[in-house]
Amino acid sequence: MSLLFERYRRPLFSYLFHQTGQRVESEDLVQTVFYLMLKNRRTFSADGAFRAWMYQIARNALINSAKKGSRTVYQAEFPDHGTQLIEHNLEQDYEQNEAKIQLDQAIARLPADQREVLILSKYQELPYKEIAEVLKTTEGNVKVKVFRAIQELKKIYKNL
Amino acid sequence: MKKNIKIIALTVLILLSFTIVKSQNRDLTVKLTNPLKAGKLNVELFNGSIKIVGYSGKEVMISADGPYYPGKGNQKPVKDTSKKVSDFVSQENNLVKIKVEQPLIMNFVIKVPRNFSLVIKVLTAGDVDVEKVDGDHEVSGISGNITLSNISGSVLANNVRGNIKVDFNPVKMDAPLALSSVLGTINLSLPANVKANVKLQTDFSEIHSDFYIDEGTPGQKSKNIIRRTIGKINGGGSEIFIKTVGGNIYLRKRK
Amino acid sequence: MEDIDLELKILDYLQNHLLEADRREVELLRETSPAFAAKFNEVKQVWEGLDLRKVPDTSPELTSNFQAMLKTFELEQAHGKVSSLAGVLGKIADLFVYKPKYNWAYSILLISAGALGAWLLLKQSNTNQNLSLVENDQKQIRVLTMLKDSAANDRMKAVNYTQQLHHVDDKVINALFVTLNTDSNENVRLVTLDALLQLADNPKVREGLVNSIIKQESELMQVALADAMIQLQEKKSAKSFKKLLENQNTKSPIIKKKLEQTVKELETI
Repeated sequence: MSLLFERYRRPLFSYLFHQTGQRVESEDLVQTVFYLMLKNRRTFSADGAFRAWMYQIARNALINSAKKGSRTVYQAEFPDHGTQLIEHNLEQDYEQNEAKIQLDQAIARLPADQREVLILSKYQELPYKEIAEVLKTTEGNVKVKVFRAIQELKKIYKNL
Repeated sequence: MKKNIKIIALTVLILLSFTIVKSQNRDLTVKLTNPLKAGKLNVELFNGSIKIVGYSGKEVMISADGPYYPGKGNQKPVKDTSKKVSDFVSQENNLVKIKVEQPLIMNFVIKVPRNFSLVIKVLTAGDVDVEKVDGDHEVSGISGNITLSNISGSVLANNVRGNIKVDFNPVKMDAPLALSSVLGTINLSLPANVKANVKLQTDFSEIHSDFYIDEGTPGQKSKNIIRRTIGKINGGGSEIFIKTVGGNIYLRKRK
Repeated sequence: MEDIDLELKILDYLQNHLLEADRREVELLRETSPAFAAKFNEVKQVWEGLDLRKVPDTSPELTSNFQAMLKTFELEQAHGKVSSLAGVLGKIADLFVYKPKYNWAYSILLISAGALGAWLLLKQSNTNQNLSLVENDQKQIRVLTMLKDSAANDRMKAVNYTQQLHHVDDKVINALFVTLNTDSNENVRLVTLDALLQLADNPKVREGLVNSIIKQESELMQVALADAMIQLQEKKSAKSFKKLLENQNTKSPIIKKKLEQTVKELETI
């Protein structure tokens, strides 16, 4: 289990962080997901299936958490996370911050399903087939959503 | 002939004053241990004003006026020429420290990299003015005014008799903001689309807000004699806490 | 080829999912068709623009909390069903013969054990309830560790976070009082007072708040506590405020006036 934790801690956190923008909440959800996987651990072995299963659990945990009214609901302004980002982007201009804010807002405006597919494809680098498994839909459906998300985001750059 | 003498005299005077001015302001450039990482500035000042401006470089540039010993009675402060700026400054592992103990008075103008965290304490009098620095800031004053403009990150500021004015453009939304003063006014400007949970309290003064604050279900038991507004702006988000005893609170929308 | 197929192909190219032959096809199209090149650049701009969003690394607390949870889980598996909380704690005590390096790690284990015990006692309840118990305890663990942080804004976040808990252990309450009475940052102390006020149904909390009055040197804190005592209608706190006035800890006339007002009001309860 510890090995799995080391392997999937960052991708799982990344998925949750992209969805919520909240660092503390995301870490708590990582704990919750691992707890749930521990509880139901007899179920999986193959790697591909495992990852899809993990993200399914993560999605459900996210949905339950939002239902309870805690602040894991998606925030329109996806935050920069303070000192960490400051370290990476010492060279970053104030103007680039503005571009980021625009990007965050555009992503926030996407319909939830498109945003989710985008995150899983771009940041978690899941193939469409696996995303389809996570979302319990068809690969074709996933492709359409990615396409639509990209079309929406194109508008940011057209407006500049 | 007379004209020439005048010109020469004038030039000499200007040159003289220039050198005098130059010798009053001492400059010091501080390099960080690791210029690629963010840094922190800790200032503890017994008495004096501080102005800090963020810029695009990687070093901390300190310009100081003083130190002075307070004059006795009505006399003007007396300069202590035996001390250099570097006597008060140290750097270790990206933490730059400036400490000026009592009873010295010293004024600073400091340039820091744009991404920097500031912890500033002024123990008696002196204004604190921060511009364009993004980081986690703590500022504590007594009778001077605290002003932070064009900043983002988190701010915890408290003052006794002085005012606090913050013009905040938050890039990260999970950072807390807390401003408190006993007698001073507190002025906070935020972007119009900010999402926040606010708690504004004052004992003897007033609360004014440009924002609509959704206070949720009314009918909260209030045997308090203080004035308070607790609620959400734009649906809620990061925490904002403002308290005064005898000073007005103003919450404004940034232009 | 339809629009969507073209763009998906470009995405595949950008993500290095294409085979050699297909890669060359895309590159050739880029060179020969300005319309395609334009489209390619549009998609590339969006795709690479997404790199602006960065994710921080996880905190070390996450790893240590996970390990604590894993240990208690394994404990449950190894020793089978344990039907009492005391039993669970006893078994954990057995395992920990060594002295824990940091108090907080010990706290984590105790709270995890508490969570596990509570979970075991509520075996019959449905999953969601168990889950929220575990989540609540994880949050409490987080609060405890963050309260010891050297950065004031993290301590402030920890205090704000306690307001999301639906159950607060004594350990967390004690930690909040330590913060209220000794934290170096006044704003953190102010927010802590607020958080404790929410828990004032607990008689221990009320008592702690009354005891805190004479410990406060800051005028802002004294006033805040004055308001708190009036809100709680806590008559016995009047003594403490009188002491404050005697000690001349209060310098400003406005504060003196406030405290005198407060004493008067408290005495008429």
